[in-house]
Amino acid sequence: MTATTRPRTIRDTATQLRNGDLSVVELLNELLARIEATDRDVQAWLDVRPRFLLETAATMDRRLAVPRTPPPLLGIPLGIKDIVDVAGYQTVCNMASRETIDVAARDADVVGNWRRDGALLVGKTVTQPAAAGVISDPCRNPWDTDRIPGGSSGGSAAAVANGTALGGLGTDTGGSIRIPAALCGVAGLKPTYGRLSGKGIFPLSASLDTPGPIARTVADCVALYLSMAKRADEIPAVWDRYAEGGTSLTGKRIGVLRSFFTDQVQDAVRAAFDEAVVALERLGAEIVPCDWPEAAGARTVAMYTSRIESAQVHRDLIRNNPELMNDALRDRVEVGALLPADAWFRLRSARLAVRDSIASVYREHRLDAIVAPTTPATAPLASETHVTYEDGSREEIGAAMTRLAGPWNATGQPVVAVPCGFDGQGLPIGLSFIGRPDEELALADIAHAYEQAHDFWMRMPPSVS
Amino acid sequence: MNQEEAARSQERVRHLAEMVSLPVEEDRIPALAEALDAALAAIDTIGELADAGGPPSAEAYDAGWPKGGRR
Repeated sequence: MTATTRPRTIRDTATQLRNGDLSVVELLNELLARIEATDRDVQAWLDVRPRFLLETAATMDRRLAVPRTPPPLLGIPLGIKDIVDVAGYQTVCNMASRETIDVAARDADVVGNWRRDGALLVGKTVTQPAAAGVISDPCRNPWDTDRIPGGSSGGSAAAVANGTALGGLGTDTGGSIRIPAALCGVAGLKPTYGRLSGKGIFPLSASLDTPGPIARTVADCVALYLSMAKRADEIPAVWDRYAEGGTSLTGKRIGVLRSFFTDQVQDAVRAAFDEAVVALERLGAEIVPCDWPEAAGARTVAMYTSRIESAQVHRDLIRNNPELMNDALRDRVEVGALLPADAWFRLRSARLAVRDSIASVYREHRLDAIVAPTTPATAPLASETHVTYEDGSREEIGAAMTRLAGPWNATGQPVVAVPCGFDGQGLPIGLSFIGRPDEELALADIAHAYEQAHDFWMRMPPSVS
Repeated sequence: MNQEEAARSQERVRHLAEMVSLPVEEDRIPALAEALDAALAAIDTIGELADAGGPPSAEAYDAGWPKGGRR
């Protein structure tokens, strides 16, 4: 069962705050009450300091009372994945080895940009240890708290889905923004690799790591992204444009990838994807079936590049205190440490080839975007180790969840993930729009048009009702 | 994988671990050997892509660059 009240969005809330229809203190109190009521089960949050937050909110209300245009995110409550530095908070990364680490002296660049644009930083959100996986324990999925939220930005996605934040910061190395967005039924934006600063973000795999926003809608993701990119002055124009509608996709050519992206997926995921393609055509887009034979290779490139680079990140820990690493991280780092230089060079070379190959797909078919399912399955139970498909085949959860997302880390392209339906158990299903490098806003326009033609984004999990 | 192959894979893990000064407990070696085999097999499957992306092996260079005949 889902709640029917329209969820708060950043755009609407910013307008209410500016118009004096809502105060930041009122908004914060609403969220703190929701955290109090639901977070014992969902466990999205790590470090929330109500008294400090209420003081900050009161200061923001005083700023809003001054007759001057406030920064666009003033008073908007956001969560920060706990591999990202926030001044005055520890960055523990869910790792035993970092439990006594000093607090960060300054914000990560992208967090500093949010703060400068007025955001109310509510606290840190749960992540997978070292961001290396999709479970995000102990956080649970608000749609069914026996299930995982996905990861590694699971806490940020669960907090947004649960209505305890209007946006969250995620990072994406093999799908860590898009996977939890899909499993929790919210939107996520993985920008082009290298587009945003990674300074102040604990690394997993430096040549793949990409920070990005998670929020209720594409419009909200775009606003958060523009702030992260120090382009907040563009936010009002984007919001105005989206407010005018923009639901036609006439003239847009959208590529549809199947085979690698649809051969091994749950039936409900395939059905929702097929319906999404029909919906895009109905919105005016020209649907272009296309093939990318290098997709599996791209996935291999992302997966093992990440393992080798994470072995470098944890080279001291794995040698001196491996007992402080959880099993999944230790397994991954050990394999990465043992892979020979020959493997590394082959991965690097193959990466150039997969980038060329996907570029030629866009060129040959004159594509504005590609669509594909975000994950092959809906949120697995936390007690399970494998995803089971209708044909009886099974796949380890981490491998399954990253399988369709990883290729886009190898190519470095921007991706917008949105909900596109629900399975028979009421669990969200995700759809990915994949764009050309550095064309985040053009891609978001397409994803926004699809999103606003449906009500999937408005549905709230039962924990909120 | 037969016993002999498994033993060889495990020996490779011991050797590589020593080369990179990675302490690995003996009871972790069978699983690690399997994971490393899987990784190497997966990376083997991208051989053509790796050659296409360069820098090429000597064989790929010789096969792919036009030759003017024997002097």
